Amino acid sequence: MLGFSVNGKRVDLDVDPSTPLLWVIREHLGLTGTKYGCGMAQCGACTVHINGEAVRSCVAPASRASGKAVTTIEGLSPDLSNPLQRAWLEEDVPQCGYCQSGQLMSAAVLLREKPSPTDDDIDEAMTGNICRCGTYPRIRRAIHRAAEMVAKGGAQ
Amino acid sequence: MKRLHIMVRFCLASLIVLGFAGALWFSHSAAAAERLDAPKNAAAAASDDGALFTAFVPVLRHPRCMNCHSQGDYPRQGDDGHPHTMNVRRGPVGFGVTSEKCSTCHQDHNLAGSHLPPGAPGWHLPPPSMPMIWQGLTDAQLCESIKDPKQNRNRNLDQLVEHLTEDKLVMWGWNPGEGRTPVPMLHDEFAAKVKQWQAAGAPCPAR
Repeated sequence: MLGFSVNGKRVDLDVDPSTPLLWVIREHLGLTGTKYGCGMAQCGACTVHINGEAVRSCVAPASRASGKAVTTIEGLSPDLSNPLQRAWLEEDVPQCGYCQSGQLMSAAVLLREKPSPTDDDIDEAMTGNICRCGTYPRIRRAIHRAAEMVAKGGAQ
Repeated sequence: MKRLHIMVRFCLASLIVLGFAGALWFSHSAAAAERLDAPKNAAAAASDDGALFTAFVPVLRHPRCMNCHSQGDYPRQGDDGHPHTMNVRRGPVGFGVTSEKCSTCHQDHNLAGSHLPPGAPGWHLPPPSMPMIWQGLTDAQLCESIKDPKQNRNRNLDQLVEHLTEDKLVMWGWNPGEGRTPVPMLHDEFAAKVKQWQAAGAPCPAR
């Protein structure tokens, strides 16, 4: 039995501890906002947080989450009120959208650690999240916009 | 006739006794020579121009070690030591930055399959405050560097040898996962050479 919290809710699951966390999130918990991209930690579509840190859930065994707090895109905010989600909407960032939940989860860690990121900071943090539609300029603008919202008092 | 037999037996017995005595003398002399040689060997080691160090330096210079002990503010990959993809950086304490920390992709174990992230407990780079960059150093500089507590995270010689021979992240070099070349020496041989170097007073090449 594997126990951890997902988006604030305690779950106990009878799963093989070596199962990729991504499959537990999608198949066992039905949280399908987190995407399968490459399956080898190369693209970032599967990024979630474990205890607040970005983790590629496609290669992380479920056992890594044991006793910890997992946050998925569904848990970033209950009502799209997170500044990043608002900025993403305002900048109309997604094209096909497939990579965007991973982009947002990575950006959330960036903003927590660097509330006023430079373009270089953004490049440093986001290069590992690939977007085949090439929405990078909009992602960058949205992160700056979200940083401004946080600076003006919007909770992240 | 009987007297002749007795003489022959006496001669044979004497030869056997002499043979044993000779063998004993030889072995005793050889052992003594070894004992006498021991301090000479130690003295020779102390002035061996670092041969005991250079005996295991190919491991330290191998990409499995050097990719995290290289110049620049980032890790490297592959046997050609190219910069880590995804613009991965050393970060403030050696564990990467923001959403690209080492643990974002690396587990505490290798993942099965080629091109999947390798892993070991405590996967990280040396911190920027003590980056332990070996690339570009001569053997003499490398030797002095790894012994210097101001450059080796305050390790004394015993702790350095323990790090080199037992640390799980270092041990990964012998088990780097599919598609990666392991360090070029058996671990037992490497450990023996490191300890031989330690026993001789950890001599470094003169230059």
